Amino acid sequence: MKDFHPWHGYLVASEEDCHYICSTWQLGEQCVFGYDSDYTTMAVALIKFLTAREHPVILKVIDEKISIDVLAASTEHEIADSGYTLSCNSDASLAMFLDDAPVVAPPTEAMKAINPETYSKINQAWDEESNERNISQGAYVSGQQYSESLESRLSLTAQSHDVLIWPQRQMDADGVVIEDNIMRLRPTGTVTSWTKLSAAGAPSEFAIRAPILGGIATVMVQTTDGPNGVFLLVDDDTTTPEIGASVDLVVRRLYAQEGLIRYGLKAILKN
Amino acid sequence: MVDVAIIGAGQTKYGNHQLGMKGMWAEAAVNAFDSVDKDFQPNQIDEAYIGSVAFGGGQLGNTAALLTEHTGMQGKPVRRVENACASSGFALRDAWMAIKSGQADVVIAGGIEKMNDLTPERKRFWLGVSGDTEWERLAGLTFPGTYALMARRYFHEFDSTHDDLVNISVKNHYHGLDNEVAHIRKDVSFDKAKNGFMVADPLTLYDCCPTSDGASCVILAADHVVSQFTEDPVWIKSSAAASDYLALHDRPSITQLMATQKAAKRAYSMAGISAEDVDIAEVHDCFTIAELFATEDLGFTERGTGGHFARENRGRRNEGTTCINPSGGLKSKGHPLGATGTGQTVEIFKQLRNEVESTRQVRDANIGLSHNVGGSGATCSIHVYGRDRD
Repeated sequence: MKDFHPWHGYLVASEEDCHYICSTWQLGEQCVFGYDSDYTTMAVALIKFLTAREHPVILKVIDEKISIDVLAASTEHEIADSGYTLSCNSDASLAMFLDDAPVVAPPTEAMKAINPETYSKINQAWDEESNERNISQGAYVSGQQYSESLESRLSLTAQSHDVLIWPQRQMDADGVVIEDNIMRLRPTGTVTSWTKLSAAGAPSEFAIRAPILGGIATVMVQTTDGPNGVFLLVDDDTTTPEIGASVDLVVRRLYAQEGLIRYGLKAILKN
Repeated sequence: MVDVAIIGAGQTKYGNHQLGMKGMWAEAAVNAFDSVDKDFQPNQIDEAYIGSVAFGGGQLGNTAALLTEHTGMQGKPVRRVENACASSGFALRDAWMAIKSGQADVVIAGGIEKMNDLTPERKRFWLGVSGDTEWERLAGLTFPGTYALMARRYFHEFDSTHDDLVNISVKNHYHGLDNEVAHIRKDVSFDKAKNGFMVADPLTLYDCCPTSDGASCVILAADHVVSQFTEDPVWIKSSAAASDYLALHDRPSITQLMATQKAAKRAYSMAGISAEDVDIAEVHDCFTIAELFATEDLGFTERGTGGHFARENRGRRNEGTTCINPSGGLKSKGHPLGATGTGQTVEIFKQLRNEVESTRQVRDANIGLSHNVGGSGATCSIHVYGRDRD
């Protein structure tokens, strides 16, 4: 597998019955995760890469490092007795294959060096934040509340009700109950405003990581299909958005609370 | 229908207050009782409405019962009113409605917040509880962030830059300089405000109000009992309120506050005035961009010209047609969330009665307005006040 394509902040190589995705970051010779990525976000990206090319995805085995709930809420795939194996590698890469696991080397020429100190601190921060004993002072979005809106959060499921409504709501402004006429918005859009919060101004759920990253950046996006949303920027320590810039909305880690990593969509600037 | 007047008003100094909630409330209430021109006893109060977010969660339940038992109102019907930063603006409206309905003759409206005796982490949690927690907050936003998004979009749509916000900050610090109850009493130069620490790009520290401790209290009376207490009341000529979508992404526009526009329209209509008639306005400048929006949404200048209004210093004391934030506003006077709304009323009451420090008295002020906003504009209450009953 030689031809790698940039996709949702990762690198993807794809052949008929074998597909591979890896991080764009390297630490020395090692391919490592970016600041808000893991095997789950990478698996979502790989399946979205294939479905965007109308390649049906039928899974037989899913590596236990990957969150099945997040995968189900984020992507269109089937699970059957025969199909792909989705397998995590020892570095920041994973493969999806029918028969034998491919041996693929990450394309180092297309990768970027990560700051070793920041990388180390961010990993420690995630460990601390994910620890069940860490009592977050963050906004309390309970497990059930998170699950209730997970599909809307990860797949932009909207209601068709004269206009498209996202996130979903119960009644419109005239008190008419909105029927469950669901469709998925395209995960693309345009930046309509943005800000970068200092670490001191960031919400407390980001209190451990924001100082390491020098703050966090948020963009307001008008999706291609119309509804607006606000999203954190991917790799927000290295990018500065502009009003009018095009973005893709990709699944990444948001934060951890009560031992559970919360995933959501983030915006990644298109080149 | 019965008319409603303010017969007394008082507050604590805003800032890092050494007293706890009970002590602060007692100080504000006693100041209000003492401000009544004739004899007044707290047992003459029929009802009490106290606005508070209950910041820190220390006495989240039955806040009003606890506070009023310490100020001679034991046994009275009391309750806490919560609408984020607009809590006591709505407490005032509820008190006004209690008298209007004929169920009460003398009613207290007040507010309180104790914000500065928490750890930084706990404080940041409470500063975020009034925004949209499920979507905005998980996108990294607290109120500096939401108002920063509004500001950047405004600069994109209209002829305005951050310098216009700097002018607002400089003006409000100038107004608050001689205000003895203000949290931050210092003259701030244009350059200093322009080059402040970046909190949420493009908003700097000098665009953001401080977090303050404080309490405020006003006493309302029905027209048929006013003369028992004073011959010099301030009349509430109208009370109006509105709400909007909580999250910015649900609103058709983020460069205006529809709740303010709706409430203002009703308030002016009920009072029989227009924006040009307002001599002094205490507007909700939690961030400087919020004051810019308020000057447009309240009709002091056309939509899209708020930057010009600020640039030309048209809200400066005794220089323009309407003095905007004579107290120094939230920027200088301070912002103890639940106390802010009725704190604005205290300022209007004293300005209209020529009772503020002489150096900051607005000349010939007859009509006042207070504008209290919850969060990034989900709730808003507006009151119009006058020296004359009609």
